[in-house]
Amino acid sequence: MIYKSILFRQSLIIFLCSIMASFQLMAQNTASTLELKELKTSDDSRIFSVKLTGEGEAGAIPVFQAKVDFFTTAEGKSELLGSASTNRDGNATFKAEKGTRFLKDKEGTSVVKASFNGIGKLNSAEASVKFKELNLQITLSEKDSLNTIQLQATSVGPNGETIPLKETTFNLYVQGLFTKLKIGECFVDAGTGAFEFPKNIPGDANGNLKIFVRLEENEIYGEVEKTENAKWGNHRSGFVEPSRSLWSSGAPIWMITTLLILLTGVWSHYLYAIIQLIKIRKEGKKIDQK
Amino acid sequence: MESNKRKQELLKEFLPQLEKTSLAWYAWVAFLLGAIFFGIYCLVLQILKGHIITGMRDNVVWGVYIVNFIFFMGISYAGALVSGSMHLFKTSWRGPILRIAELTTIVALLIGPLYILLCIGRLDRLPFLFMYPRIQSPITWDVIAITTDLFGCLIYLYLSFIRDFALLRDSEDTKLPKWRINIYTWLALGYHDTPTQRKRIKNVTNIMSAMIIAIAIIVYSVLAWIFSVTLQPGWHSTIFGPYFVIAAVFSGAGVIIILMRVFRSIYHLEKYITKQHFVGVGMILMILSMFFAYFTFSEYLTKWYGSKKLDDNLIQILFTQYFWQFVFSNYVGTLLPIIIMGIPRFRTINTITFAAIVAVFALWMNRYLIVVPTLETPYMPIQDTRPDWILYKATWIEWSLTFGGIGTFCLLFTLAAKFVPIIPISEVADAELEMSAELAKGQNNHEATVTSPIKKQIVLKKEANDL
Repeated sequence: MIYKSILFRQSLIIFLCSIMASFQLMAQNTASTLELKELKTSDDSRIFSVKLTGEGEAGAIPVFQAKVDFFTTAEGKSELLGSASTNRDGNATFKAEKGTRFLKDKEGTSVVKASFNGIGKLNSAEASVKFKELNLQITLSEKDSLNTIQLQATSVGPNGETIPLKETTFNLYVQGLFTKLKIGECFVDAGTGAFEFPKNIPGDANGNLKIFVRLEENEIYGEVEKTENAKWGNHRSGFVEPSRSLWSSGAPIWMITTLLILLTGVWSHYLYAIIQLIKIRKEGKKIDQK
Repeated sequence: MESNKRKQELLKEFLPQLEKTSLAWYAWVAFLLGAIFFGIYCLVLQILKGHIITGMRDNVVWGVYIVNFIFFMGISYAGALVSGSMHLFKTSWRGPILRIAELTTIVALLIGPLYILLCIGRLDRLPFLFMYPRIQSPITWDVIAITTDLFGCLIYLYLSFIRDFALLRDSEDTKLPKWRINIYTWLALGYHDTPTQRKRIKNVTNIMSAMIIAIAIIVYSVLAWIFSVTLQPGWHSTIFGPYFVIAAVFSGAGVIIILMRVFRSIYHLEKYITKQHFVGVGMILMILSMFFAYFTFSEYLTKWYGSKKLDDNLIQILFTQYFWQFVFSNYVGTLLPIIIMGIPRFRTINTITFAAIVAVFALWMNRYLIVVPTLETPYMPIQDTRPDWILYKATWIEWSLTFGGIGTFCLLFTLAAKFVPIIPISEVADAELEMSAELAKGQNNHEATVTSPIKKQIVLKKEANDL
């Protein structure tokens, strides 16, 4: 009896623990992660990109159709800039047009915060970026058969004064078919810098190139980009498709010749055989008439 | 005159096969028609519902249909090669098996390409292949090659039939209906066995027998190139052309042996299709199995030694997932004909037929192992890797159409054997006369060597003139 009673009690405890654990598991929320990037584009607008993922068993899973809010914050104040929904890859972008007012602290630093409020069991998540205003101007010049890119970069001080940028490196790219090709770096000091453009970069059929000057992953200014078009490409003739190849509409001559020789050889013998059969028939007709 | 007399004797012997039709024959034809109509029903289902009712998917786009295509085309080329070679080299025992080989060529050639149509998802686009052909495409080469081959084989087959059509036309003792006599008359083309007509037929047959050997080799190589010009693991091989040709003749020789055995039993042709014929074709089977084994070993050895990742994957799959099929097709199928034909005491008609049956099944399996496992190990990963998308398993629809094709092969053969004698009467009579003449000549030569040096000189001069 005693054993039965102990066994019953233990079973009951295990049963209750299992139920509690199940409820706990059912109530357990899934963590989510938000990554935020910022880019000041050539038209002085700012693009804020986020990627939202949830923690799945097999790793991070993109969260689809989740609303992400973007705020500008400084010194305890916060203002909503706008919202965006994530796509199937969990990505969402928000574009702050030129002239958008960002809150600033005393040193002129702005902070933009992206916030996801959570859906169902998916936890909420936040991410933020900070940046100072940077004005970048590029000028393309052609002198003595040298193509040069002139950079002028200034920031804005706490009192609104213009401060030339010091000892900062910019990356230079040209647009390729799929990605950007890095062609070099330009060191800017006292607000100016120059870069001699290489002569061996092919452009499109007309020699056009799209040049990108970028300040990347800078702790103070964030990411800044400026683009300009130039006719500096040296490859002005487009790709000429060979008239006769394996992949062109016209077959190679050797292939046609081989096929014709083979077919002529074979079918001429067939023709000979048919002619002989006709002759047999003619002779047979004569015999039948006799 | 002696030849004509012998032909009439033979015709008298074989006419009952063409005139009388037994109940068993009708039952057999009804069974075959049942298989064919069920196949047609499956084809209608496939057209209406699409390829989703087959085992073919995005990854394995070719299944048993293409295997059947290669198999039937192989049998066809083998028939052409065997009959063409025997005729060209004047093999003394060729007569009784020539027609079986020739009919195999045509019947298989009519069925094989139909399986290509079954693989095509959008049959309405088929005319584009002819309207906008690309010379660079191996598919276009195949269309041209098969058409050329079919035309050549039809001419060759017709040439071998003309003399027998004339015999059937001129037969006085026949109980054949008039409409059949009229057909024979029309097909005989006014052939009266005059020296000129005989010479013409002989010349053209000699030329065409050489042509169909060459065409068969080219056409089957073209079929092999459809696979080998791709970069797929297991297909991209320089020896695929000769490998396919050897495999084709190997399986075709097996089918010819099986048909010889079948017709020998049904039509009681023991007097004409003797053990010598079985041993003769069996020897061809053995030599081809050795060549086939050599090519197979060479093919897989180089792939295994090269250790390219995808080739390794393929060999891994062949030796695990398809282990028994691989052993059957490449070990049992090649070793059995060698053992049976290699040891004289094993050489009986039944054992040779058994070896042929095993070889035919093994070669079908060999084609399956060439097509399916390769498609299951593609170069490019696919977007969805669920097993039923990657792995292939033929459905009952595909098997029904396969049996429908075999049924059509058997039906066409049955009907052809009812329309013309399965033994080429004129060829057999001529071969017998040739052999008697050879024997007589041999005796004369022997006499010449033993009698006098002058006679010997005369015989040598005569031989030189003959040459």
